[in-house]
Amino acid sequence: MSVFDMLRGDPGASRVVPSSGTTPRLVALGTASMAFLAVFAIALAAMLFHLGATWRAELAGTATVRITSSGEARDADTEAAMQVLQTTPGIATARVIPELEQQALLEPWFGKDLPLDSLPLPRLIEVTFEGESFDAKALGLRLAGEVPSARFDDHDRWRGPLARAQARMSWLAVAALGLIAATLAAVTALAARAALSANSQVIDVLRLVGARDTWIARAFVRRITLRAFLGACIGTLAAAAILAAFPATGAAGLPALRPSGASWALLAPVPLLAALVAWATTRRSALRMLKGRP
Amino acid sequence: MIDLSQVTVAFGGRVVLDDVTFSLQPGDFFFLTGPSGAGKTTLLRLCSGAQAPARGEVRLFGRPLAEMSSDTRASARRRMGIVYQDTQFLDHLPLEENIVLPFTVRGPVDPEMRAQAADLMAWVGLGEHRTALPPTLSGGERQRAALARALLTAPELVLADEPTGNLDWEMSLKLLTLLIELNRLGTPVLMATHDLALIRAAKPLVNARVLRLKDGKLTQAGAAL
Ligand SMILES: Nc1ncnc2c1ncn2[C@@H]1O[C@H](COP(=O)(O)OP(=O)(O)OP(=O)(O)O)[C@@H](O)[C@H]1O
Ligand SMILES: [Mg+2]
Repeated sequence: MSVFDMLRGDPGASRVVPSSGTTPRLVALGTASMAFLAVFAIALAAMLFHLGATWRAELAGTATVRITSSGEARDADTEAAMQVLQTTPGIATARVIPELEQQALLEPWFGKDLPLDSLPLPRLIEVTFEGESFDAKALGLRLAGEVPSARFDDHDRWRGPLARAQARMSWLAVAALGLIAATLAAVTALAARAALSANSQVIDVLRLVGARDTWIARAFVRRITLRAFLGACIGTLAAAAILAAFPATGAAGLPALRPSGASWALLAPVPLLAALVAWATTRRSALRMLKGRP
Repeated sequence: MIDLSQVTVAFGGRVVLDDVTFSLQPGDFFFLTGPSGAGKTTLLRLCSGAQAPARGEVRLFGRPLAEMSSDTRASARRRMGIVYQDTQFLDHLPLEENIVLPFTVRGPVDPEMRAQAADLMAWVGLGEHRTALPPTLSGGERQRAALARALLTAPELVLADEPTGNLDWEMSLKLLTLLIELNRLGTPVLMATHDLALIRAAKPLVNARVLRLKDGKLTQAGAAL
């Protein structure tokens, strides 16, 4: 008996179990709550993924060379460093940041009237790479050899911790989804047991007329799975409606929690996965329970 | 077709069937008698594979019950027509759905099967009650319905636990005659009953043997009647 067999339906099997009882309603409620939480966990995971991607895009492919010498040596060193950069394959652009621009970069920190001439400010060269596989380490070593006053910074020390923080948060979201699925499994397994216990006479009658255990189980599993699917649809739609009401742009440097464009599609599998979890666990516990009965 | 050899069944230390040996072969007609609580139902449940013995061996259609999976047990039951003594209906389904249940659990039910069920129901006098829910029927009506269901699938053998317990004399004879007809065609019948008059009425019609259960022992009581 596959999920498809079950969904294709067997009007006989679905009718033999009385539809009364609160168990199916509790299953729908429990699954709706779990789906609701799952949608937010997914939205959070998607947001973290976007955040990580943004960080990586901003840091990857660029580097900075600082010329730390002063006076006349500075111009010569800058020249030498530019020479090295221009002869290194894989570098897209290398640009000396003009003093005015540098001033603009520093303005938020030190104010407008910064006497740049009198400060021992390093000169900055902004480098962008072609492609992702550029060997920044080799360039760093070469620069250090040829222009001792040049300091090469490929932003690696920022990337590492950020990537780790993002990975940790992503795992948290995955763990939350796992816990949600496990809770759903527990709820539906309990529901299956309750339904079978409440219908022991039905089981006796079905056995009497020669029903196989898989057939009897199907009758119960089908009902609970359909309820779980219905509940999950409601929970997913409710959560999606709330997400849709969220602002489309983020705040405090974070991307928006509200999914955009294709990200909405990530929510579509929630009801299906919930139904799958419900199907697998109810079937397992129903068959086990039937096996334990003479 | 069904063989019990040296079977013992005990509930909570109390021995109900003690070293019972019994065999049901094609053509057999057995009445099973004995005082209430003697173990008649228990013996029938052994025969249908619904009860496992504490000791001894039960074989259904040649296969040891102990080695049968739940699926093969179900397959064996499909070859039997079983009437239990009490609750054997799905109370939330109309009677006609209950009667076609043996077909329902096998696969899709086609109109021909429903027509067969309707004929049998009419024959046992339940034509009027096809859409009634089982709890609304009288005890005798339920017994007739149970027998109709047991015979619907043309079983290879019949196990009936007091199928006439709540019936008037006329209806009892009618059902007995049906079972005797089936038996003449070769279907073995094992029927538990308290009704000695019914057993006497059957005597000229069928070569039935009477078994008696008492104190856990099964004896043949044929000559005494
Ligand atoms: N599942 C069970 N658990 C405990 N005791 C049982 C069980 N089934 C039967 N018994 C006991 O076994 C004994 C025999 O029961 P059984 O139903 O076989 O008797 P019976 O001959 O069919 O009686 P009756 O004529 O009243 O139907 C009874 O004392 C009954 O209480
Ligand atoms: Mg009995």
